[in-house]
Amino acid sequence: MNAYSVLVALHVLAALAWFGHMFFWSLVAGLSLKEVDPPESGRRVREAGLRWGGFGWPSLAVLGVTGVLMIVLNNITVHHVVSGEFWSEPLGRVMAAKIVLVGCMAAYQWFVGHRPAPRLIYLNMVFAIAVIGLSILRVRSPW
Amino acid sequence: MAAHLIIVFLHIMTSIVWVGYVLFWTIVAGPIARSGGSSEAARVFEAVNRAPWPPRKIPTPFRFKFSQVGGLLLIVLAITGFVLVVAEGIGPGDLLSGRFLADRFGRLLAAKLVFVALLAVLQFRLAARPSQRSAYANLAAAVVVVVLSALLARSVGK
Repeated sequence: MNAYSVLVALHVLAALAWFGHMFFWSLVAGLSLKEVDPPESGRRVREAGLRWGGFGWPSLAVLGVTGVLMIVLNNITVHHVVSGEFWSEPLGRVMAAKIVLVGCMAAYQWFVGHRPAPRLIYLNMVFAIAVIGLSILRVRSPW
Repeated sequence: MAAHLIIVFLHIMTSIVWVGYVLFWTIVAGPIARSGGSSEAARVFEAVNRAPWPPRKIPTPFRFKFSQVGGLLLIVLAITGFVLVVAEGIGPGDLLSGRFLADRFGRLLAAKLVFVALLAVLQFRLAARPSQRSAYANLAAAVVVVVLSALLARSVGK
């Protein structure tokens, strides 16, 4: 297992923890816990989730560091990025779109964070789905 | 190509929700067991496992228990995973005969299948009798499966 594989594994784990927690609580746990009988049990579980489920910032930190290191190990230099050479290629454009979407998710994290946001969370999930789609294109595309 | 990417997307989206399920028990099991003791925690976990999903106010022809959600996600992962393995040229015959172990992809796949089987057992236990210990064991096995999956994705076509 080389350094690049370790970075990929950490990047994937961080993304899964962040997105997994968000999707599962929004689509499954949050809905089911409202119907737990007795309601007191559901309330205690919700409180534990709010207390210990803040994966956003730690995951973003790991994703940022591992993402930049993977770009460096792919021999993409500052010159490639600043000159626009990198962004003119299909993979560069995919990467640009991914960075913009992750920026939107970081903004959500900044303004909303781990607080309940019944409507905005779905917009954040749409961003996450787009990031996942772009990541699959980045890895599996024939370009 | 498009169909293949859709299956990959479905596999990854399901694995994301499934990791959320694993994290759910890891996050809530410890604090609740510590604050209320093991018998109180068992009572809370049983109540959670009995809760319906989707909730009753959402009209749907099917409804599951919370305890069944992890198993459902594993079934979707197994089906999409099998389709992806077949797309890599490994058929059921190769899997049964052990021919797939000839290269790095096959050996990583074998390791992943072993841990997925372990996960299935742990998940069954978690659904039947949730506890702090089974939640942490489930998380550890899930981390190994995710790391093996990342390595597997990198070795596709090599």
